[in-house]
Amino acid sequence: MALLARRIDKALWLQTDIFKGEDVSADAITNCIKTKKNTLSTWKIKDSSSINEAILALASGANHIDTFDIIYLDVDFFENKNFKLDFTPGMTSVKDLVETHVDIINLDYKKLGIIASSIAEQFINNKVRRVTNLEIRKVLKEAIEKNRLSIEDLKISDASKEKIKKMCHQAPSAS
Amino acid sequence: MFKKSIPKFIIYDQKYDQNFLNIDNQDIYSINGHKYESNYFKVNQKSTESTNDTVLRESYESFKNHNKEKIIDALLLNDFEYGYNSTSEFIIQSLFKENSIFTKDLLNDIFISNFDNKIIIIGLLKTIAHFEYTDISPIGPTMALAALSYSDPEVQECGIRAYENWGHADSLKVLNKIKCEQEWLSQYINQVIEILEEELIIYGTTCTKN
Amino acid sequence: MIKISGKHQVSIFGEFSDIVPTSETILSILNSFKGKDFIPGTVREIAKIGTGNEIRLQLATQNKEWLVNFLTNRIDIEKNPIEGDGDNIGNIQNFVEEAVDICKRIIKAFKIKSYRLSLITTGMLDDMNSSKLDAIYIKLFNPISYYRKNIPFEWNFRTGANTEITIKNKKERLNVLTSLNRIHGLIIHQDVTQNFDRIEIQFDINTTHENKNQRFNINSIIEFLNQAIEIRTQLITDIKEHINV
Repeated sequence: MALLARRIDKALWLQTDIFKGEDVSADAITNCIKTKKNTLSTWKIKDSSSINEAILALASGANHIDTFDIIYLDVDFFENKNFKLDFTPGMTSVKDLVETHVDIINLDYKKLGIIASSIAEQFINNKVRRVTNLEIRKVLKEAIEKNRLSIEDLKISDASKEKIKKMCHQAPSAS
Repeated sequence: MFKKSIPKFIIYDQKYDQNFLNIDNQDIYSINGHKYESNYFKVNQKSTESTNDTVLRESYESFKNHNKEKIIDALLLNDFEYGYNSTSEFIIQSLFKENSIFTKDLLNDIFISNFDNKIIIIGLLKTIAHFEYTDISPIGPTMALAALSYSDPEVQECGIRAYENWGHADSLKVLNKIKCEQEWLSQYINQVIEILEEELIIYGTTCTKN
Repeated sequence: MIKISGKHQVSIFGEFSDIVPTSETILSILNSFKGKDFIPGTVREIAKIGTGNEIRLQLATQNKEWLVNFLTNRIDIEKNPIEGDGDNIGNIQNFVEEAVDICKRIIKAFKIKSYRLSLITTGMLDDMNSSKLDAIYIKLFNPISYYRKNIPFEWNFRTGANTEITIKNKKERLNVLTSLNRIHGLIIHQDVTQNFDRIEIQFDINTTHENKNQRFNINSIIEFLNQAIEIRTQLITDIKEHINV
């Protein structure tokens, strides 16, 4: 089942006790599902086992390799709730992921509330995944080794690139 | 925020006897820049102070006056998003290139003076987490440690993130000794400890700069 | 007599080069200072600039009322005025009690002893007219005729004497320094500036530097400070009587 993945900031969602049914904080809504031109950016993956594709798409366009939290919601959920989706080219250095970018468009107050509630449910169902910076580097490393991405296309610092290069040249011990 | 106005006393041509033990703190160059800034005395002419000290203090004062509000405004107005540059980061990076010593002192000053302002503290921590450990030490790890004992979990998280990003062996020493009340933070600390151990052992390297 | 309180400081001297702002040190000190609103930071020790050891640990309260500077050979515990008349400083007894509490926490964290102790206080006397200020000058200096006719607008009267006290049943020599200085400048308050012309008073009571044995523990510090307060109180009484304020 296809999913739409988006980066969020866990700390903002846990400002209130959403596990006990408290409302989502304003900070979570205004920061993590902040729209531009009533649009939210997401990345489409075919199922939860392909989460690394979303991680790759998100990380490859970033300036820093920072730990982030990722949620993913069913595409069906959006279609059933009459959300409008638009496939627009994504900002990623991984060419084969460019077309996996999906904008949720024509959002309004009510729809944003629905998205917020769905994300809160993800927390309750323990489906929010924290992706550490080591995991991000491993995902990038794998993409580089498979020639899906050139390290020089990444917008991260030279020192970070060196770290990834070193990982590429060094096979980890079996563990 | 309405600030209470405190009378300032500025003294002209006052000579202070150097034999007074440390009363004027002539031996230190405090985070206040001027040794009297936290005192109601302000000395205009310090006859017992060496010329170099005077130049150093005045240079820092000038640097601070030029840049403190700029940094604070950027921290307050910026939207920080993990993984992306921020305006305050550009400003601080550029000041760092200009004068890393003064910049660190100024960051220390801003951190302490605004310790009750979560927005500023989080902004500072997110910014310094992107510096190399050796460049931002010792003030960076000092701030991160202070963050770990902050009452707000968001601030605590920023401290952990900084240690994760620095990936220094020091990070492991600290994180192994920290206990957080919030379960998700404890889990995060454990995650980071595992990562650092893995990186140091398997890769022989850590993420020092992002 | 003392109308405006200035910085008060207790210092302990010893070998503290190891107390640097590393994570272990800071963790240790934060643990020791639990319950107190101290924030760890750094301070630059001028004498060590260029040696690589210039950055020292500092603890500060957010409003900078309290600062604890861990220098290479000295730990300064200072309380600074943050209100108009330095009212926050409180009386000397309160200050010393708080400083002793801080010393206890430091000693608990680092297991240190010291070889020299000091108590320093500053303040300003009440506002006086120039006749009164001049009269005090004459009383203190018994000046030559030139300065009787041309009373100085600025003067420094500093005296240092030695005395002995007992700490841990052992005699310790003290320097007792008193300074009365006529100072003038500006008061800036809510965008209004006003000139001031007052007498500043400083007391610096410290054990002499010759004996470098690391012998003072917390009880020694308490004994020293209690006796220093007594000496200071006596000095204030004597000065008050002498200059008739």
